[in-house]
Amino acid sequence: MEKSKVLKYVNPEDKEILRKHSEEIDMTSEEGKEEARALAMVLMEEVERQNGAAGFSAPQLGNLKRIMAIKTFQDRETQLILVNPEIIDMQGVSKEEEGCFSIDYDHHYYWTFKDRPFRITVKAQDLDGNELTIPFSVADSMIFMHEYEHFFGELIIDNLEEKLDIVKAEAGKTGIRTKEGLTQEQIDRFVVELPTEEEKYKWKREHPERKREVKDRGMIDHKDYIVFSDKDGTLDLETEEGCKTLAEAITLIEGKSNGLFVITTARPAGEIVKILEDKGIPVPKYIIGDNGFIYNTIDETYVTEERLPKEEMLDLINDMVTSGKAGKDEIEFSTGDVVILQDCPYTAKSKAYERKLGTRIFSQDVVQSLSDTEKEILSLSLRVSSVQAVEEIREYIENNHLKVQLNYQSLDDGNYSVDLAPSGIHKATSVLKLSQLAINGDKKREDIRGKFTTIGDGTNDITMLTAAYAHGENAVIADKDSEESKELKAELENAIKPYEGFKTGELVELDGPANDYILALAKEKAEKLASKAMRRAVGMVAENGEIPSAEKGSPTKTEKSK
Amino acid sequence: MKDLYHLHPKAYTEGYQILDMLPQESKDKIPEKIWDFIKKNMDVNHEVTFEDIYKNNLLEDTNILLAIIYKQYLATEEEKKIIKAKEDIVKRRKEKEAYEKYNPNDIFKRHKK
Repeated sequence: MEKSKVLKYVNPEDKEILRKHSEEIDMTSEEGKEEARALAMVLMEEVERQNGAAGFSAPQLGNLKRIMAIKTFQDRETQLILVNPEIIDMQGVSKEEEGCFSIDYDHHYYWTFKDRPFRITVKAQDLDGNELTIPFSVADSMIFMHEYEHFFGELIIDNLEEKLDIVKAEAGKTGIRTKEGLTQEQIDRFVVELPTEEEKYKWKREHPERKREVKDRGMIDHKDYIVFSDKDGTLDLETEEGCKTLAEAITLIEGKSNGLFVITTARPAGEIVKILEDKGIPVPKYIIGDNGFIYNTIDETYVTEERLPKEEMLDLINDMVTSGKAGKDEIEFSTGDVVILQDCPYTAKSKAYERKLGTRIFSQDVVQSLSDTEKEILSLSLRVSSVQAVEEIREYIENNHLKVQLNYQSLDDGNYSVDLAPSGIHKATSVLKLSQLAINGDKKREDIRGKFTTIGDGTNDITMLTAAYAHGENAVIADKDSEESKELKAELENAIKPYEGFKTGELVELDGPANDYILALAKEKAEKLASKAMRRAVGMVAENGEIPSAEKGSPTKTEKSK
Repeated sequence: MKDLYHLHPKAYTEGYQILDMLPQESKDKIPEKIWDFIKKNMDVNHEVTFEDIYKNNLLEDTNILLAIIYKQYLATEEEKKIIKAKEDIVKRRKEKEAYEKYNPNDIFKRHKK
């Protein structure tokens, strides 16, 4: 039987290779494709040879190229070849048991439990260089991540949380593992190979990009709490003090305690990113823009997948405009990073500010812009001349079975503003969705009740505040004496009536913007985390003996500092 | 066990990050000389994230630093009693283990073999 090609960690020469980073394969050239095909053959043979193998990556066979062959639990018959894979989204956490053919000695394999993404989306190339986008979840996510980490010299013995467990894999029988017949010496053999704390920290410092990729990139890890806040009228981003307070709050929430800060706004998410960057305020991981679209600022992708059907929207607008029922001079649509709108003279005051950011594009012909753009459309609004026109739009949506929701309001000039967005997309559903993902991300059946706070000041915040109140969390109204906030409060008091008598939150009113309120909340959470860490330290240290006094070993005045 | 003044520099960095997050009234209870010593001896190049704190991915020396400071300056009287009780339990357990391991009554039995 041909000898296995798999590199073994116990062999110092193999260990050196296993710890190296791999390069991408140039799939635009014929040589690159040939190389990929040759590697794929070798990988696939090894997967078939090794009974019980879920996959191999090229580095394990001594070739530092980014290609892997895996068998998923969904399809154990077919091997999937992935070239130059990249992670484009991660969600949740699950703990999976895994072993590695490189981490063994004489066929005694080591297994461990590691945190892996619950759900992951991967972009890769096939052997012809075509792009693939593939979702994996649970065990398949683990298989992918395991092989992916080989490209960065990472092994299952890195960043261990659970002790390695050695078992003997019985030849020819996959999935059966036993400790029978193993000596203590065999079990202890790898103990000395486990990374020391120094090595773990050295690895983290040397691979900051990997730490960010695995820990931060798109991953909604289990969070203790989330603060959702509207922006306009709710947060002070105009004064230096306001910006400084908010910056400190975001740093505490997302950097020093296990929380998320999410701005929820009618503006496109891209505009909020620019505003924050312009003010020197840290950009939080998630923004809910366009009144309901969850945007991941690290990956620069949307968690919310729904979009407006562009062709149908164009037909609708053309029909409305041609028949004179819609004003051509007041149509706007959002692509998530910019809003395209018709140049209206009476918005001259806001134009100057908005042009500075470059996120409001004024077009001579918005309908043409909508037709020309290749970007997806998140929301659309237009002005129509009558309630009948509103009903015609509603009929169009129903007759064409479009998953579009319609909201409208009357304008001072007697016309109506109609807002169209994908069905089910609004601040409340997105707040609840993100809360569920972030707080239940590790599959624990943990109620999100009392885990998030929402803050707003206008009637477009009402669904979000009602949702918070109904879930036992405070619904916070900022700048309570403004006309908008008074209107919000009146509507909110009606909206929360059905929940009276149940375990609900409270209505909180702030005198001014919410910056100080958010900072106080963040400080409270960070303080709790620090106090918990200290009490935990006491428990752990006391387990080893008496905790010494702070005076013990006190340096003398002549002793030099380290 | 190590004392507060002879810990790894990275532990002072990690400890400082956590101590700095405490409420002001708690921070005020820790003597200035302790703060000064920690700041002078920490490894400024070392990075610790809140996830390290949250998941207790800290150095053993960091836990020693935090435990010493908490016990001496931050624990309430009630908490000090609980800590003392825990230490006594551990002490008794270790004494028992040592006695069973080195039981003088067994010496003669071992020699007989």
